[in-house]
Amino acid sequence: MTEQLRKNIEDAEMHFFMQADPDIIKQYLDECDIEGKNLTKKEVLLKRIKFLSKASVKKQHDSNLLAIAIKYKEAIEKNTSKPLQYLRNIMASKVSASYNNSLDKLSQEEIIELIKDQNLINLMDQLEQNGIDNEAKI
Amino acid sequence: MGLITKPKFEAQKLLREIGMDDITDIPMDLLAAGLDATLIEEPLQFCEGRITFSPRRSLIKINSNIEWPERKRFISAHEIGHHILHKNMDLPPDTFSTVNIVAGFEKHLKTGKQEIEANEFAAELLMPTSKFVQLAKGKPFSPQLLKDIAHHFQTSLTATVFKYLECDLHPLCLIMIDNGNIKYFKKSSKLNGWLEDRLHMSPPPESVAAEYINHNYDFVYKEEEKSQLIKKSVWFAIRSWEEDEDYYEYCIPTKRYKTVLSVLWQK
Repeated sequence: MTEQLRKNIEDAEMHFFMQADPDIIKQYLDECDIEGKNLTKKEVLLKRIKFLSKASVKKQHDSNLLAIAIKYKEAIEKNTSKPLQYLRNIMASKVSASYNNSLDKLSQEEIIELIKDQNLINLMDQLEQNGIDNEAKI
Repeated sequence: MGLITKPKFEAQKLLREIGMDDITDIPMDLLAAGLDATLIEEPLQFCEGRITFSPRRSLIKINSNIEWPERKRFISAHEIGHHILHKNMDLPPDTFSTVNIVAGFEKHLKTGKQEIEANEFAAELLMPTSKFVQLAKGKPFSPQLLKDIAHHFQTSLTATVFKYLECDLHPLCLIMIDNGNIKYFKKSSKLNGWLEDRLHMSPPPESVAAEYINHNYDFVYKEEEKSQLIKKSVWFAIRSWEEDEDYYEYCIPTKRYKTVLSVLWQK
């Protein structure tokens, strides 16, 4: 996770707490019967809010990355001319692996699909590393 | 009650970490995003779902052509299971030494039990045991109870009845019939009966399952008729010292896959 993304998540959490309607928060806290009586429930609620805030920001961020990454068709389709050899290389690197629910029937076409997914995810990583605004470097 | 396995433990740990009793209120793509995985739906030609890893994230693709939302949720939870359990998996050296790399990979996955682990994780994530027991305990087993629980967790009836059996709330026997033949069965330890001889054979002609197969997997019974009274001897071998008993049989047919899941329990 980049520093920028971490900062975005923290900002979103802060934004959530500052913008939330106090009546809604109070109603929710009342329903949970936490008003300071049961700290465990309060902690649980905070965990949930923190997770959902992070998830929302991350989902938007990934959606932006994906929208940019899928424009690079050439990069997504590279290494698909010799799929078996390429798959062997990825697996040998032990850096990544792909799983498929119908492996019994894995065909050349399916391996190509897996390679495209691998290229897509690598592209998303690269975009994230360079910063989305700096996509020209890809 | 079933044993706590690593996948179940990891699912329960995850729920604790995100402060939730269950995930019925959360869309699966949002859950995945919070766990550093990107989940998208698109038409997939060869599978229901797949996952690809990189050092920074996982990419989960779910087949948008899957008809049932419950199935989509299960496949999503299954792939999230791979993300949590197998992301940094070290593949054994012999995976790469085989001539046919694909066959080697497949063998590793099948024998490595990752698929089973991902299924166990998914079942616990979608239907946490404590919440499941809370919903089902003290209520008599019935098709309507299963339907209510499945509705609550947004899971299929099949996944729900397997979870019910695992929680050992009432003695049950589940028999999976695939393309007219008995593929496997699973039963509570408290339910006595011998079924072994029937494996790989067609269901008994007097069974409700046979009725469904004869009706081309269409729904034969509705509402309160779903539990059909049968004799224990229809499915189980009765020993000389035993008396025949009344049992119920309830079937969950799947026309597309030509399967019937038969649920048996004592009256």
